[in-house]
Amino acid sequence: MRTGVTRWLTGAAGLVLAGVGAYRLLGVDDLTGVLIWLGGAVVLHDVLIAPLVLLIGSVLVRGGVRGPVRGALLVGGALTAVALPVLLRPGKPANPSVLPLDYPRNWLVTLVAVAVVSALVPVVRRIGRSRRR
Amino acid sequence: MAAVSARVSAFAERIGSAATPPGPFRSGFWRSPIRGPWLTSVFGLVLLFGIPVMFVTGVLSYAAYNPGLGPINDQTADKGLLGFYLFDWPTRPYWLYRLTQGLHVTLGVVLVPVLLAKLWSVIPKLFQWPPLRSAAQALERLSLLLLVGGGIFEFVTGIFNVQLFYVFPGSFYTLHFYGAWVFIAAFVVHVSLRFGRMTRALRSRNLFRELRTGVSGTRPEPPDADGLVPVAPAAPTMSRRGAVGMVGAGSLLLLVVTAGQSIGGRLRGTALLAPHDRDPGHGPNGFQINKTAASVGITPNLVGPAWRLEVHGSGRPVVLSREQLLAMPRHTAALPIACVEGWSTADQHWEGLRLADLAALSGLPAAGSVLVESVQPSGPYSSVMLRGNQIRDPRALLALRVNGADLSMDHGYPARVIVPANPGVNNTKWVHRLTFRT
Repeated sequence: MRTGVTRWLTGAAGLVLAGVGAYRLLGVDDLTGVLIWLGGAVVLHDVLIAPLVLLIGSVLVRGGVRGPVRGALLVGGALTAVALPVLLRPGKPANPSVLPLDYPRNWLVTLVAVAVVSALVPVVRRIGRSRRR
Repeated sequence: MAAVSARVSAFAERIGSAATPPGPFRSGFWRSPIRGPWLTSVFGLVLLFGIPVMFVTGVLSYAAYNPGLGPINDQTADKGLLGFYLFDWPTRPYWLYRLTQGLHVTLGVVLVPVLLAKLWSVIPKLFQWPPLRSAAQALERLSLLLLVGGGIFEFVTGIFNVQLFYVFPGSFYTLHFYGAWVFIAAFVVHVSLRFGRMTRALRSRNLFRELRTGVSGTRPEPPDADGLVPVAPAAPTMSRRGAVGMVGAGSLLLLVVTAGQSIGGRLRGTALLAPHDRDPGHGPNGFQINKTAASVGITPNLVGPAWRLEVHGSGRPVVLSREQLLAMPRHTAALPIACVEGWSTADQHWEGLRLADLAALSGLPAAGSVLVESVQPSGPYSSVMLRGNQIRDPRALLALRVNGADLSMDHGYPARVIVPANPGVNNTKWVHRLTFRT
């Protein structure tokens, strides 16, 4: 019973605090924009990212692809997700100090590095196994 | 409360008695044999340490802007109680903001794979049927909506801002600050509800044994009350070690391609996907800039021979040319520029007049604050208020030169403010007026 009361109290307190934050957010000039972004965050994950990842995963497993290939996709996917803004950004940066590099090239270089490391994983494993024998 | 509870239960019963929809709502749909309380708790434990560090460094960054000094520094005039903890941001150690903000941004990027993995591990819960069972559970699902929505909102706006991709609706400062409170409140609710379950789940399996178990030895966890463990598990194609390892590898790679912009030196070249990954030029003025003179409308005649510095205080304003300033006693300080975007420079050798000396010149040696105004046409950061402790630090300068040369136009010629541990944007460039107040 006591945990029940604690839960109600922390739950209510947390929701009130979250409500204060949300209420303040609504004070921002572009209210619809904020709502779209807050709700869009959930939709982005639940409707786009999660189904896409699950679908690719299930296709890979059914195709018999596993191990390092999946690792490479997961690592490369996380990298791409974080790098998306610099990759998609249209136009030129305001000055030579910011965003100075060829980001698509660097992104590809990093993905190649991920692919090489992933390809080496089974080789290293096989060597390790044959040594143990 | 009891009446609400009863009504929710009745409603839930009505939904529950309808047939369970097909697809992900059916319990047999989710088949990954590694999904279960243990794996979820491993990712949860990482976030349980990581998110509070993000929150603390975040609210410190907010305090570093000294919003208590008034609307010039503060775009969140409605913060009310949320500003309860504000304090006078210190000037020592001089690398404080470089550390806290570098940590905030780097950790935020590094946690992205962990956050996504944690969401993957609990995705069946999104489709539980009936969707509402009791009033308490409805409240919890509401808190989860705020947790997931607030969390992704904070990560996305943070990463976009770091990469100068200003597409979000409104000021980043306001959105990220209030969003953080929504997120952390939902986080507290979530931890209070799930902490016990997490520790039990972590104790249920031995981490070191898990790290030695390959795919062939991987078995599902025993069925759990939350329904994370599949009722009809597929044959394993990945071990728990593999799942944790891949997420770790993703975080490690993001660390490698990001951290260099905050650490600097040779590592700056490894920040392949960071927006500030190399020095834009050579020589004394060759270090990082965020806003060039041209980009904010500074023209040569604004800062030419006709430029004067006005110092206001208790008596008549003092007006000085750059030559007169250079003739006054100059001091040096080695200080970095550290930006809210997480990047920072190495220590630069600044040379100029102490703010304390200028305060004395204005007739207010014990000034409580100073309004620093730029010749920059008005914009959100064209002027700033600094506090008494920042004025009195002997390393707080109105800099005229850097690394043995005159300031370049892009670094704030003819004069800029540089204060230890101050967020980069508050070290106003192209200063033309200082107004000291008691």
